[in-house]
Amino acid sequence: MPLYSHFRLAGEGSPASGAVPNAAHNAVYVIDDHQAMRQSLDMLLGTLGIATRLFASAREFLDQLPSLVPAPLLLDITMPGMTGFELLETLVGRKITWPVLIMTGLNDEPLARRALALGAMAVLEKPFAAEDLESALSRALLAMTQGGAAPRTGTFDAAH
Amino acid sequence: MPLTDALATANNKLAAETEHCHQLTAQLLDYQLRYRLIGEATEDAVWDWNLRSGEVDRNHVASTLFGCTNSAADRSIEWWKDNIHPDDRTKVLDAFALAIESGQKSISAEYRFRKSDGNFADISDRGYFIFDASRNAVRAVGVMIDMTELERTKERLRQAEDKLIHLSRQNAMGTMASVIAHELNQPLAAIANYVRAGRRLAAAALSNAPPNFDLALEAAEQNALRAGQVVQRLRDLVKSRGVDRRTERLGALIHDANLIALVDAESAGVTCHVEPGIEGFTVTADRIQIQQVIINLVRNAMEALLTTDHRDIFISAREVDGLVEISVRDNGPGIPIDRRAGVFSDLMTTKATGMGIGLSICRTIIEAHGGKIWLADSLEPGTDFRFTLPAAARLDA
Repeated sequence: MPLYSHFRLAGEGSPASGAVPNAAHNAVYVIDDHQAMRQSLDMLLGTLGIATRLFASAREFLDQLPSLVPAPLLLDITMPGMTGFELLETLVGRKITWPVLIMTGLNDEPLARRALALGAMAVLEKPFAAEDLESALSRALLAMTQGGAAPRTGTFDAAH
Repeated sequence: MPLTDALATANNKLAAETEHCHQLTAQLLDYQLRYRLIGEATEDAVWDWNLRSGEVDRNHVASTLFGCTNSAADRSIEWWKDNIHPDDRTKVLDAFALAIESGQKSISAEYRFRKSDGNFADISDRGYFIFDASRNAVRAVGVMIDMTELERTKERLRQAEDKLIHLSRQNAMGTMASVIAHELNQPLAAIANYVRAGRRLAAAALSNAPPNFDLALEAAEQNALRAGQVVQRLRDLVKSRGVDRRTERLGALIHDANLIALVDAESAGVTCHVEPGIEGFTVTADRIQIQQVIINLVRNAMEALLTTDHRDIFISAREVDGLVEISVRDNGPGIPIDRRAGVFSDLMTTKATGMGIGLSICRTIIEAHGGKIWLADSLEPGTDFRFTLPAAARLDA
């Protein structure tokens, strides 16, 4: 399946020089308060050979952060308690520059721009086409192998 | 000297009477002035009707407002009767006749009355009757008050109220639409993910999948995404926001509007034909506002088509003198001649059902964009609404 191939590349063979030590190759942290979103993303990414770790809240993710190895985040914006946006700000404050892909149920351009300005790599409008998620994820995984830093400028991938 | 005495007495009496006369004249002049000033101050037409002679005395307001002269004809009660609006005349005259007959002391009536410029004023008339010893009405006095401005202000107030109700309802709808959009988009996103995962799992496991298996799942996935678009555009439309005019592609504008407007077109048996040439046009417009106009016109067309067998809507565009003219036409029964003139002033914003914002708001939106909206005369049956928007540069795409 040609669609899978570049994901497999990210995890197979030797990492590119300058890769973050202990980075979880082909793993993604999914942070979303909706159980169906977490489970469906787990199944979808599973078909690509990408492992997921699921968090039902931003707080849960922060609590476990000290024990986590660097990996891209698939982060929902609107969540009860700490929002995805606040989590993103917290990560920036702690100088954690793992690639962050924002998911949002609301097409909110100003919010998307703010998230991108904070270093998010892409904003995905729910429901998103699998292709949009996968191209954003492949860039995120590539960024991990190339030094772990998210680019300071991202793209707004929401389909219009 | 009885003669001189008598003369002196007569002289004194005369002087006293002259003095009294002067006083009366001064008093009369004062009354006249007061009468006139009251008219000036209130701008009310005061009338004094002698029922025996049929003569009416009026203050100057009647001449400035209604062009009433001092001629015998104008001083007759017939002048008043003649200038009442024909549709109101019988009703008013009957009310006066009844009041006189039944010995009523006062009367009030509302009617339209011809002004000197030929237009009719909304008049509120209040009169007071004076009866003689045998209970016959001999005199009546009263005022005619021009309520036209007041009525107009009331009408404007009513319209403003309706708009306010509409806006507050829209505001509440905006909040609700955000909540619904957010909550619907979660399961829709999950469905799209599950289906894609299912397709991949099936492709890997089933070497011998039934024909159309993957096609069916692909369609399911596409429809979940489409449902998400509908929800999103619906929310865009109703959320509160400022005006934002940009260069917009007409094709995309109409496509997004139709996502909402035609959401039940299939079940209503309506087909919408969008002329492919529309893709090439760009306009300077507020996307959401123009979508609201298009949705309104398309929904009107769909409603009109309910009574017909062939239900088609045609959307096309052409460029005329730097403006893009958009036509939304249906092959329904059309709008009756007597209703055509009023379609844009009809206040339909409080309509209980439907998703329209009302044609009067459509007109406000289009005119604010520097365009015009009208009902085209068409040889073909049906309704053809057209509006113009400023053209932006034409794209060759």
